[in-house]
Amino acid sequence: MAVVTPQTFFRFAADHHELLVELYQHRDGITEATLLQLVRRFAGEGTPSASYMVDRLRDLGFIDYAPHATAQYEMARPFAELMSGLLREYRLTSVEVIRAYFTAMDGMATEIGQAIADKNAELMVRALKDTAEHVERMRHDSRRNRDEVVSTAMRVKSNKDRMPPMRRYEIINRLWTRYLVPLRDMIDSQKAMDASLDRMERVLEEAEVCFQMDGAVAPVIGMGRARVRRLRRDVVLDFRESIREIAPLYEELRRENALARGASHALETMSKQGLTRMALPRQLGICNWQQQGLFSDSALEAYLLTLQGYVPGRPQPIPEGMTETAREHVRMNEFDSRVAAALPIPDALTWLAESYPEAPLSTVLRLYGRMHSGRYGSVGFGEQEEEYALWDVTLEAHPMNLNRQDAKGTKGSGNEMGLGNA
Amino acid sequence: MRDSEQSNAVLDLPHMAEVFEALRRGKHISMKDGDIYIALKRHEGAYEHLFSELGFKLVHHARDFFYFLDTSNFTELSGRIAVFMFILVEHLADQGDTVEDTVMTRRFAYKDLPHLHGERYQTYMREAGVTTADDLAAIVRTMERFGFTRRMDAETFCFDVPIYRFLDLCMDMAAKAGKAEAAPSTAADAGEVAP
Repeated sequence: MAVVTPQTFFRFAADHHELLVELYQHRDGITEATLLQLVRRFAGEGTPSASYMVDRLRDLGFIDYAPHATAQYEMARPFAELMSGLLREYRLTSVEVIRAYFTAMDGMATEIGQAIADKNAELMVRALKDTAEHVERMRHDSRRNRDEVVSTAMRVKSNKDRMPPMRRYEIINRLWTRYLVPLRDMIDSQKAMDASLDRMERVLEEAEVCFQMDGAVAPVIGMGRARVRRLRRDVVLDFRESIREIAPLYEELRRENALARGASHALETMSKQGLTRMALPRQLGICNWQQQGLFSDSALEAYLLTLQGYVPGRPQPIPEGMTETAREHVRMNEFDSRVAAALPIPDALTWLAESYPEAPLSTVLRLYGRMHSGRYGSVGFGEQEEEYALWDVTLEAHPMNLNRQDAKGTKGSGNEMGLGNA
Repeated sequence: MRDSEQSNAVLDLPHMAEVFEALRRGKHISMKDGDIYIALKRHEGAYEHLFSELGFKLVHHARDFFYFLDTSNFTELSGRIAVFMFILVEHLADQGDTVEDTVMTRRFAYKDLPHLHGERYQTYMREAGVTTADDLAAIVRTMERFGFTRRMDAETFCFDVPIYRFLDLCMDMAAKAGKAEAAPSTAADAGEVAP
């Protein structure tokens, strides 16, 4: 394996930066055949063979064999991270990792405390070196997270891919719920970060007192305290910046998503229940008040004009009473007397036809009903149905008989009657 | 004395007849309506009192327009408009457009409306009694009558602020959908956290 110096690494990178950028798009895996094609695509005049280039990429640590398959490569992790930094395509450091950073910092504070107790300058310097590296890594991750949040927000805002609101909302909601809210809990609500950094600052303060006479250790401790203060300030700043960027977008997309979701839900409901059952007009209540029973001014004016100079004509003469009308009238008390006198009546319809031959059918039927009421005595019906051709119609009925109500209450037979026009 | 002064003040309200006539016909009065909007805005309290005495509920929407909310004498045409808007909102969202911004700023051409394209939308529109391009244009004209749209030329129109009534309706529908979905679980389970 060839010796890799920074010069050879960066010279190769400079000469083949387009290939490396393209390769970064396949950072999670690329087959050897595709890689060879890619190399040939970017090959210029005097470029060595594709297979040589692949070997060179591997030797310089740009790519590595994929662990899961043969003839398959992936981008080496350190180079992938370098590229993501250069291309500002960051992956979020999860809150779990950030939390672990603070736990580790507590461990380092304990180690510094141990160095104070033992007055061990060598241990102190080693612990401070570790702490400095750790603090800087945290600061770097915090800044990268902020950059990732901002770049995601910009991408979602510009929406060049024309993603529907739901998709955009999912991206921002994920960022919000998976990263910003836990971070807010850690920084604002539970103050876990402050607690950890306070502990570290306290122990460094003690170290400063303990090693103030040591000219080699004291400046390192001072630098460590400054790093911790800067970390605290930068993490809060990054967090606030991320919130400022995401919160309005989150709200906007939540509303956009709700609009789209509401419209789709309404259409779905309509297809299931029908528009009428949704009762949208009542819910919206758009007024449609009509003036009812009121004259318009012009209509009223026109009417009054017609009344002006009105001369009433002679009233219509009242028509004289007709003889037939008088005959139609049957006094009930007279009728009752006639029925009572005629009892027993074997067939009510025949009796009515004989007794009131000129009465209209409607009157006769009312009288028939009165006879059926039972006020004159017991009422019975014949078993056999008969037809009556009376009053220009044919009636079908079981003959109704009327008998005086005797002490035994004798009644006629039969229990139904049919009456109709033929 | 005080009552009579108040009565006179009510009777002296500017543009009273025009304001009432517009509102009772379902018109939503916004800034573009000029004098009657200004009259309502300046004398909102007096108008509200007057209409309340007459049995009308004057609403001043958060987006700064006025209308009568009447759940007894309401127009059935609003159901059609609602379907029109549901389809438009869904279509814009599917296209990746920002719904609210697009509705409020874009000029819409009748020929580009999605309502009669595709079987699903046609079915919805049929349910709302719209089957032809003329019917669709009639809905837009009705919307203009109520103050929701403004005709730009023979081929295009744009929406006015009162269209927020239908965007609000979409939000209500989303809330209903949310409630229905959240019945077995909680909002926290759905992964939403308020800012």
